[in-house]
Amino acid sequence: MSKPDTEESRIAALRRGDEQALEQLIRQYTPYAGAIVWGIVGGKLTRDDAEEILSDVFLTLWKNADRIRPGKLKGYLASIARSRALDALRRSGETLELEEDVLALPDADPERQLTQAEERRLLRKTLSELPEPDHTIFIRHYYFCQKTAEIAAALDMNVNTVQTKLKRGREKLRLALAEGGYEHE
Amino acid sequence: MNKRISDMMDELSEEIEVAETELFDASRVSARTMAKLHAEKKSVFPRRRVLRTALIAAVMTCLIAAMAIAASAGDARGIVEGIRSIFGGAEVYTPGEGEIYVDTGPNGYDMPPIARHDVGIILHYEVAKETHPVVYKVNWLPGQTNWSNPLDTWVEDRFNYPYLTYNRSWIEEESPADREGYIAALGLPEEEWKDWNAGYLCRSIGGKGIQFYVDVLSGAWLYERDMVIGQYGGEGKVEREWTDGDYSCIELTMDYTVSDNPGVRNLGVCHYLLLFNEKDGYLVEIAGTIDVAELEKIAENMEFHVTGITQRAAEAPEDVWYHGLIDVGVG
Repeated sequence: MSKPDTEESRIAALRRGDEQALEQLIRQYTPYAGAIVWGIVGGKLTRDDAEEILSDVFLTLWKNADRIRPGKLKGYLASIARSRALDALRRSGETLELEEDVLALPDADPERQLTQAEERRLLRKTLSELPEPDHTIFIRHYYFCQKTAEIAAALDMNVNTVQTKLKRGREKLRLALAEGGYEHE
Repeated sequence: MNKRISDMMDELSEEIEVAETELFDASRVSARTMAKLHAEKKSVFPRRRVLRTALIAAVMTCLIAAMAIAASAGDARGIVEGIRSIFGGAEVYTPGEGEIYVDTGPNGYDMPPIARHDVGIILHYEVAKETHPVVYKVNWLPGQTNWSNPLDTWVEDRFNYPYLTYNRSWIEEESPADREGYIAALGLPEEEWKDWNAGYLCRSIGGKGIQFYVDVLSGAWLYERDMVIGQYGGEGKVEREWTDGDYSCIELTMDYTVSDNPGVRNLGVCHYLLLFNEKDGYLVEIAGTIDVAELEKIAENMEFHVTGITQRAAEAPEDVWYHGLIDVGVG
């Protein structure tokens, strides 16, 4: 009986240096990673550029196979896809214009891992409490780094409305961080 | 530290709902990837194991002078399965290779995938039952900043580690010292103490976010050194290894400019000097974004003194190890 083709078995195959496993993962996850990459570079770079970015993403997956936990593959791919796409944008001279993006948090130290977990929880909570279309706007802006004008055009809204909704989202995040004991600006 | 909302969002990557697209031809992406894969040579770090050493409870003064003689190369990566340790005051398990679970009770969580871990190097120590605090003198520091009196020392057990006798302190530019408090905590007579530091000397250099610091870890004997190089997207490189008397020395470079994380990327390139005294069981860590020649000069001019004070660890389960996490002071 053959072993079931699970994410775990595919990661194990990658770690063994099985190129077929990589090709299978590329087939499976190109639509997903491609959506993230295109969500960021679409309209700014070409599809060919995006394919180049995707190939970098999967090459990184191959190189780091021994660091990926079963069940975490999709998240890892998402993170790499986003990072590579943003890098490519920067290299192209594109500037990321994000609305008041910086929060001041306590300095990093070995306790920071705990802090990050709490931070994630608060961010997750804030996002889950945002109504639509505020939630979508927040994700488009701060995850896909889309400009407010792009978002406004995509959602057929006024730019000022988009900015107002982003401001509302930021305020909720600030409140959540404050309740969690974080300093912020 | 300043943190961008956009960076925080990255930490939720796997939870962001994404509508998949058929815009891209997977076979073309695959062909490109394979072409790159075959063109690149994958580099692999060799492994090296440092054997445990015997305890010698003696007072000793050591001057690290000219450091030379290459030893075997190496570093390794990987967090092995089945380790229990303490990190940040919480108990940590490694349920599998490369996996870390932080048990903080009901809010326990998996650390991010190790590739995104905010850690440069992980050192494994065996828990020692008896230890002797190590103090030091810094006889030379870089001249571009106004250093505060290196004798102004205060202590903080950052890890709150219940099993080790663990001492760490540091000096900061703006922090008033509580040297007396530390002396009292150690039980060391002040007259014996006045010329020595204990622990952790850190400073921002040139406005860079990363700290320069000297860190002396005592209270545990180096048992095995497993290094996780290149985490959080940084690329680590062992520049050289050598021995000098009782010291096993390693020079590392961590290049954070290749990190996936924009916040980490800003750290630039950091140099580390790790000096293990295997005879007396302590590690000196000197790190910073300053020139490696300056770090070496600091090391060459430092003196270390293993005190006659005996500290006894609480009873520790045999399977609990200490992970010395060399953090990079992000932010």
